[in-house]
Amino acid sequence: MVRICCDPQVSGLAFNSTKGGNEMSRVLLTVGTRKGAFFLWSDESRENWRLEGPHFKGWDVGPIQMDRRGDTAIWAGVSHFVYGAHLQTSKDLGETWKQIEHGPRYEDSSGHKLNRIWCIEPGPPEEPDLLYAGVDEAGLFVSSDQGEHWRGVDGLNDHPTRGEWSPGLGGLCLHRILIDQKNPNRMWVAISAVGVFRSENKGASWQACNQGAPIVAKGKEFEHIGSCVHSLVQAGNVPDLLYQQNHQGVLRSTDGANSWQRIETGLPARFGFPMELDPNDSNTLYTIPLESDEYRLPIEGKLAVFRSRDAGESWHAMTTGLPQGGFYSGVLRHSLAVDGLGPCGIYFGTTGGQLFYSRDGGEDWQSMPFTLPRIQSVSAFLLA
Amino acid sequence: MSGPVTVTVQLPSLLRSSAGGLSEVRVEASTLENLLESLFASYPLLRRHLVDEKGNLRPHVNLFLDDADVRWLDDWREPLEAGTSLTVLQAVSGG
Repeated sequence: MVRICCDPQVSGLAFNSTKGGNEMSRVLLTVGTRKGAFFLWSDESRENWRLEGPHFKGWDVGPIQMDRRGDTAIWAGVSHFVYGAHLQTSKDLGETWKQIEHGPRYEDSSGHKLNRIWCIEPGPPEEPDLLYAGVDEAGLFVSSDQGEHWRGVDGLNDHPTRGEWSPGLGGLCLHRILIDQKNPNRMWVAISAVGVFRSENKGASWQACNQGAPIVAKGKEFEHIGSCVHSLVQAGNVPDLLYQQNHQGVLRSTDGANSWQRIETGLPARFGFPMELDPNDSNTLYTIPLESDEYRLPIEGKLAVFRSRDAGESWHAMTTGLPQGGFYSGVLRHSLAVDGLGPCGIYFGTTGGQLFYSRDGGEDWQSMPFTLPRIQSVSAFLLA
Repeated sequence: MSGPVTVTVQLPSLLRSSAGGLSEVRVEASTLENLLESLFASYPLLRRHLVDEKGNLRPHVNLFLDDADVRWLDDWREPLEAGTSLTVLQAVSGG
């Protein structure tokens, strides 16, 4: 692994090349790209960043997740169009990695194929050995031994509606797993072009929860299948409050996903991919609208993050420091992250490889002084 | 039937971490079929990257037994000759 020291003259950011620096590194920003993963370290001020990487050089890196229920572990979903998809884990913050041999994989008899790992989610705190992963072709996998062995969650993967699950442009992907922090038996998953599902019994059975959400294709046997959810977030302290950026709009549920209502006042477009919630304020959320599903570009070449501070009742553009012309890279569904500090740090990466961040809840933005490969995920973690 | 011979297996850089960081490994085998099973037994992570859920070669994985693409070989149970090498390559297309 090569550590890269960026020239502080380029941006005024005081990058440094000292190894580790972990005594002061409270914020870890991970970036999954088409050609590897990059880590950025900073302290709580988030003024100085150190870039390291690429990890998994040449591999296509999707989700990167941290599990702090026991010994801290980082998990990465890694794939390659020739060599398939697999999981990697690190117990030393990325110094070394271990490839998981018995990772998520469909049985031959299933007729399904593992194309990509889309999300990794630690189970509830009281079950530290439990991990979940969402994959393409859409499916949910679970491990009961800290990720060493995995099995499919049949209640979802063999759901009676599966025959009407159809892929979108991004594939048939299960891209989000949410676990109710107050009721570990309840969880939600999001499958692009299919919809939201909820389980009340730790994944044994699942119910489609797309009432009120737009449905792409009509006339199917199961009328609530076919909602193209792009992002799904939940307010940890208000478990029945969920939000989603959908292919066809922005929606809120106040009843645990039983029903959805549109919340789009002030947004310039309904289309977009990422959505994130301020972990310290369940009424503050962020999305990045793009011009229609046909174009999928920043509107008029202007890059803007939209913020709502009233649970989606109204939205406002946050543009200070962002390019306001000539910018035509999009932002993918996993490429927006928040760090949970106060004021909240917000980070997003583009398909053109640029990384932008705000240290004040989106009021002011800066760009990192480098260009990465196509950015597919951005995650922010706080370390004690 | 001939006995086992030592085959040198050459790996692309992306797969070296699946073989303990080695760029080439030596495997004792008597046939191509036997060679792959021995390779996967010694380096199980390679199985995941070279074959799919059904045990078939992944579509963009090429294996060359000396100069021959193994997809064109009629019989993977033919005896191997001493000095044989197996090269793992990814198919490349486009510009």
